[in-house]
Amino acid sequence: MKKKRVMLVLTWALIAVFLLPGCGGSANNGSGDAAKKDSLVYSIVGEASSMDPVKANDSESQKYHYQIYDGLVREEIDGKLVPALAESWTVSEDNKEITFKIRPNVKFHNGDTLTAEDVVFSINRSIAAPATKKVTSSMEAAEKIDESTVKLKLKFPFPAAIGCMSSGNMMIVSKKAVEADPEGFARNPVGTGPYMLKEWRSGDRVIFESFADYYRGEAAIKNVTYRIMSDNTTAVLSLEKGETDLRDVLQIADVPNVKANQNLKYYEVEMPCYYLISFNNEKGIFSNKKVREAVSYAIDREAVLLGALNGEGEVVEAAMVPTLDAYPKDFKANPYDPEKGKQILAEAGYPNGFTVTFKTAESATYSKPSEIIQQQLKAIGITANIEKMEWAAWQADCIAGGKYEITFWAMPITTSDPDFATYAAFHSSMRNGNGNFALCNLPEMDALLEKSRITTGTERNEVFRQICELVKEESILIPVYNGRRRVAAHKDLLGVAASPVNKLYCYDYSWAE
Amino acid sequence: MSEHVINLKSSVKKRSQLKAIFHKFKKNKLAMFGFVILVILIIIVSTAGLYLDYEADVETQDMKAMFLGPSWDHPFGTDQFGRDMFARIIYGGRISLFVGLFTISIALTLGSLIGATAGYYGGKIDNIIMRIMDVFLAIPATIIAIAIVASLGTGLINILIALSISRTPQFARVVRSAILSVKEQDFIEAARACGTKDRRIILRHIIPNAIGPIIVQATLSMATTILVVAGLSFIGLGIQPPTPEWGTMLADGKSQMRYYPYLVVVPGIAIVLAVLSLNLIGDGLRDALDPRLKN
Repeated sequence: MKKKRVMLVLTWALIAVFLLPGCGGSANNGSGDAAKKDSLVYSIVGEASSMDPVKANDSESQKYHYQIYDGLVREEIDGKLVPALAESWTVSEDNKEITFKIRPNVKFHNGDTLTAEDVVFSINRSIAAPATKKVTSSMEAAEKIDESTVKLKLKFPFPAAIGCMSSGNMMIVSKKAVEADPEGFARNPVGTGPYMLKEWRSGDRVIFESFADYYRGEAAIKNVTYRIMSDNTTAVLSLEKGETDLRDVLQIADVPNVKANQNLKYYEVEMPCYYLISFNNEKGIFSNKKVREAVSYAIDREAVLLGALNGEGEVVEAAMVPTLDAYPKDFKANPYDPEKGKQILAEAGYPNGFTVTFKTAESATYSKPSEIIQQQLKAIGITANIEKMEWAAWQADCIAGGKYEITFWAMPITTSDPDFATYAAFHSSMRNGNGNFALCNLPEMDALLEKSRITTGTERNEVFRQICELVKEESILIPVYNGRRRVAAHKDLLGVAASPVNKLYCYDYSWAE
Repeated sequence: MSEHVINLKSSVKKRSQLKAIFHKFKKNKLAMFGFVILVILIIIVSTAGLYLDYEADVETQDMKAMFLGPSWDHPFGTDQFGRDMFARIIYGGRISLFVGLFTISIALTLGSLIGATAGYYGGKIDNIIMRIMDVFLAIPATIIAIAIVASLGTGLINILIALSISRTPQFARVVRSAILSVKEQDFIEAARACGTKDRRIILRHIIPNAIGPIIVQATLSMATTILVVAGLSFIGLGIQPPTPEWGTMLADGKSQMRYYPYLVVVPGIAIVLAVLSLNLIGDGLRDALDPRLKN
């Protein structure tokens, strides 16, 4: 009996030990403030899959790349394209060649000066890399004209090519460093960017330090630490406690708290993206157009938006990113009409419905709407069994491998041009994991997409409208809604804004005096 | 003839033993507390069909009724899709208790067979079987379950398989050691002398006499199994939506925890109650079955 009591006391003591540090958090805060002036702790969801700009094309990795490298062109937070490593550029009459004037006296992290050779090498390396096809599919090759001039040749006239040059995949690397150690480069990257990679602790943090010889002048914040925090709740708590200074992804539930917190400032912007239900158009039950059409009548977009994002977003009806001019504002998708859906399903030969597997990524961003859609599919007789998958496995199956029947995903663009939301997504040549995850294979779609690449102005928007019509007619995929990008930062951190294309440059930030 | 007599005797002895055990168990207040909780849980959960409609109460979403706090209509509030938490907790309990019972019976059967074979025959067979079991035991059961689910895919059946396999070695070990302690006793020798077949000796004489530790192990194991199921579901490898499961409900509520604490408190308490009651019963049984604690 006595022993038991001792155990009890010990247990409580242990619990107390675990709880106490949680309460003491505010005490640590004060001492940190003085040292804060030139350092920033950035709370990020994921780790870079590679620090080599041509080996990763996801926006999470590129958040790292934008600190280490520069491109020839930079897309500012308001979407403007400004000269970066290129002082200026000229586009040829036929839209098939771009000539870049390289900025003189730009230094690499290893002290070398940027040359035309580095630029040509970087561009051609990017064109040759498999992961960059989304960005480089229009490019033929780069060649050196003289010591400060580089010409980029395109396969066909493509006005949006200059936007591509600002992508994380087109960052300029040091030729010498890559050639010295092609495999090790991803661990020891050498670019011209404002920050140098100092330490990379996998799964924990990545530490950057400012580059003194940066061509725009050394960054205001000298030390930047990316803390990897995959759990949103933990991330917001540590932001509120002052352990981190900036969080670039927030879930809606936390927004009211962040807004109410006097030490934090909240930023948001509409995403250049739309969330969608994708089918496997090539194989399985959804290769039947009628079945896909039936689903398009089963979806109540308002309800999905309300359930998944608490209504904080916009319903998307056309297969186009709503932030772009090319989005047809008056376009209407098939209305929500489960009875009609049921009827079409019966016409397709499934009067009693059927059962499918609905693969989804385990993150709530995707699994939550998937569960609502599952319920809506049930109303027309489709039993969808949700299979929550680990992110990489789901990507491999659904986005790259075509091994799925129906899934929920997003169509994000990393550069503000409608081409990025359409060509890779629907062209038959992009079916092998290069963006056409719905496995759409329609000659008239290919023709429209190719036309969209050579037309300009309002005529081009008309082509995109036709593409949206065709997506709706064939129910290739079903656009559902669009959300917002949310950033929260310490109130004294200046220069912060939410970037629609997730191009956040720590160089822009500084601490208020 | 003689075999018959032995059986008769042992059954007489067993009945009185059972009585003594139950008597001792009854005196243990904590164990009885656990027992009562478990019985109440089982009654609530198994009669759920009488007062709840699965389709309407558990699966149907209503976005206008999201995150309603506990009230008369929704005793435990509503979740992120406007579903009644009370109904989901009850049906979630069905899954947890079913998985617990089912996997333990499979693991118990398999483990007893393996352990009994190893313990009874000894020698080389024992060595081979138990070294294989040791390999399994060297890896935590949860990790084995995760590995199996990850390779077979998620779903109720795969979870049952994964948990049954991962629990089997522990039972094999317990049964083997129990058998070793009984094997050399006189009545076994007697049975063997009468020419009784091995299978009959194991099933009729050895296992009934070694059942104490096995029952304790089963009860305690069931508690851990419920925890593991919740854990698997929490990390997305368990029961898939829209089927309610305590671990899944915890995971779903986690992101809203700061604003609607009942989303995690309610399934948390459910898990604690189920696991605690089983543990209390297991402890009580162990004390009741231990001859050294006789008084």
